[in-house]
Amino acid sequence: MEKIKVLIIDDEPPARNLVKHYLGTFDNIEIAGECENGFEALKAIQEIRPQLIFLDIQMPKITGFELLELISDPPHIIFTTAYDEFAIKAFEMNAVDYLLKPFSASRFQQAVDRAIERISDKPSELQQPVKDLRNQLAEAVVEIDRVVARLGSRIVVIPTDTIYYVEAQDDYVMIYSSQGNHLKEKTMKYFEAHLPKNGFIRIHRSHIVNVSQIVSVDLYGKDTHLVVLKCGAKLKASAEGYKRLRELL
Amino acid sequence: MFARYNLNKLLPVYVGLFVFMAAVHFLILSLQLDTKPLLAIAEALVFNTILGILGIGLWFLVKFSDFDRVNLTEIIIRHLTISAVTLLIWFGSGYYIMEFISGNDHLYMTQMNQTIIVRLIAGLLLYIILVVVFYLLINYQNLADRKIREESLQNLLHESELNSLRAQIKPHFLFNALNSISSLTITNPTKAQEMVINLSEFMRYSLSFTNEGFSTLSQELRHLRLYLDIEKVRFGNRLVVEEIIQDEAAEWPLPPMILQPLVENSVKHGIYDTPGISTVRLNVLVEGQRMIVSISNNFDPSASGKNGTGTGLSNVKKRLRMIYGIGDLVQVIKNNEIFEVKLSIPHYGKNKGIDH
Repeated sequence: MEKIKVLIIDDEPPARNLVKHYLGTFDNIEIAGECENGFEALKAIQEIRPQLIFLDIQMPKITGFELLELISDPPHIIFTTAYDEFAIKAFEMNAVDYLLKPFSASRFQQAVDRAIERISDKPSELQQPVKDLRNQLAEAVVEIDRVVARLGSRIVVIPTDTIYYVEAQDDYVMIYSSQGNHLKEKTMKYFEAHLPKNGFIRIHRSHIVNVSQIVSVDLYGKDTHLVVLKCGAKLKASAEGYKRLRELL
Repeated sequence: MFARYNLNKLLPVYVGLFVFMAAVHFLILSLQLDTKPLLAIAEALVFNTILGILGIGLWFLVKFSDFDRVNLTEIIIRHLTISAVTLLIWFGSGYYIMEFISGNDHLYMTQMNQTIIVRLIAGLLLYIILVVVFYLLINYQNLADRKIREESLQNLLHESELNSLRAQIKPHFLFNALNSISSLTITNPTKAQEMVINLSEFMRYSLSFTNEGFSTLSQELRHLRLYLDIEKVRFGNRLVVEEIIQDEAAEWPLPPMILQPLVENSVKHGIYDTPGISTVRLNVLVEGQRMIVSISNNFDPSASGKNGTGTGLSNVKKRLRMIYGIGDLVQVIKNNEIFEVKLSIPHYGKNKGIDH
C-alpha cells in the first residue's frame, strides 16, 4: 500500500517536533514536509499535494482557516491548536479532527486513525453525526474583518473596510478593493452572511456594496436605482436592494 | 447607608422653619406683651426675615470654614465673634426698621427697649441651634461624599485588578508552553525540565501579584525574562530579544506586572504580523526624575492589525493614572515598521509620595 503523504504546518518548532515524533510510530505515513507559516504552506500544498495536513490556526500573517480558503481542493485536515473556541469553525471546514494542545499520544493516534479511514474512504460511524453537526453549525455566522485572496502563489490580505464592492461572476466572486481586483472561490451568499452587517448591503443579485463608499443613489428607471461609488463604479440596485439600502441609511 | 441628598430641596424646609418661628414670635408678642396685631405681624416678619437671610450667610461660613484643620478653642472664639456681629446686625437693623414702621410709636418702642436682653438671648439661642444643625448637616454630607468616593475607588481598583489578573496568565500561552514542554520531554529532557521550572517561577510570581505596593525594575525584569525565555523556546530563532538596561534604573520602584502586558503585546504582534524574525527591544534609562521604559517591536504595516484589541495597553494606562494621578505617562509611537510604547515612571518615595 502506498504511504500517505503528510504535511505539518505550525509556527512553533517544538510543536512540529512533537507531531513528527508521534507520526514516527505509523509505518504507512510519510512526512512530506514542514511549514512554519501560511505562505510556505500554500506553496508546499500545491507542490507536494499531501493527503493529510496537521494545521495550527494562529500563525503569522494568515491563519490556518484563511490558508484553507485559498486552496481549491484541500487535503484532509487535523487541526492542532491551543484555542478551543475554533472547534465549531473547524468542523465547518470538514476537519477530520481537532486536537487541543497539549494532546496525548493516544488522542493523536485516534485522530490519525480517523484520517486514514477517511482517506481509504471507508465509511465511519462518526460520519453522519458529524455531518449533521456541521449542517447545524453552518448556520452560526461569524462576521469577518478581512478576506484573504490569492494571485498565483502570492497572498493578498484585504481588510473588509478597504473593499469597494463584491460582484458575482459565475462560480466565483470578484472583490474590488483599494488593493485591486481579486477573484475568490466563494458564493455571494457567503459574503452576504459574513461581511459586517452594518457596513455592507446586497443591493442586487450580483452586487454587495460597502456602504461607506456610496457617493449617491439616483433614480434610474422604474423600480431601479443607480448606486454611485467613490471608486467611480455605477451599480444597479433592485427594488428590494434599494429598500435594504434605505433602511440602513 | 448614607444617601447624598440635594440641598436645594432643603431650602423650602428652611423657609418653612422661619415662617414657623415668625408665627411663634407673633404669638408671644400678642399674648405676653399685648402688642398691636399689625405691629406684632410686622415685627415677626422683619426680625425673622433678617435672621433667615443672615442664616444663609452662616451656612456658607460653616460650609467653607475648614474646621477639620483648626482646634476647638479657635472655633469657639471664631463663633463668639461671628455670633456677636450677627446679633448686632440682626437686632440693630430690626430695631431701626421697626422704629420706622411703627412711626416711632412710644408705647411700642418702650416695650422694645425693656425687652432687649431677652431678645438678644433668644437670638443667641437661635444662632446656636442654626450653627449646630448646619454642622451636623455638613458632616453628614461629607460622610456620604467620602463613602461614595471610596466606593467608586474600590470599584475601580477591583475592576483593574480583575483585568490585570485576566491579562496575566493567558490560557493560550499556558497551553502552548505546555505543548512545547510535552515535545521537549521527548527530544530534549534537560531543556524540558528547565522550561518547567521557568514556567513554574513565572506562574508563582504572576499568582502572587496584587495591585498594591511596589516592586523594583530588577524584580520585574527577572519575571519578564522568564516569560521571554519560554516564548523563545516556543518560537525558536524567530524571536530575538534585545535589552539595554541602565544600572541606575535597577532599584527604581514601579507597579508590579505593569510591563508584562506590554511585552506580551510586543511578542504577539512581532510574531504574528511578520513571517520572518521579529525583534523585541527593551530599553530602560533614568532621565532626571523619571525612569523611561521603552518596549518596541518591528511589525509589518501592511498587516490588517487583526490581533489584539489594545486592552492590554489601555489597562496599563488606567493603572498608571490611578497610581500616580498623572495622565500622560504612556506614549505610543508608531512609525514605518516599529511599534513602540514608552512609559515614563516617576519615583515613588517611601512615604508614598512622588519625590521631586
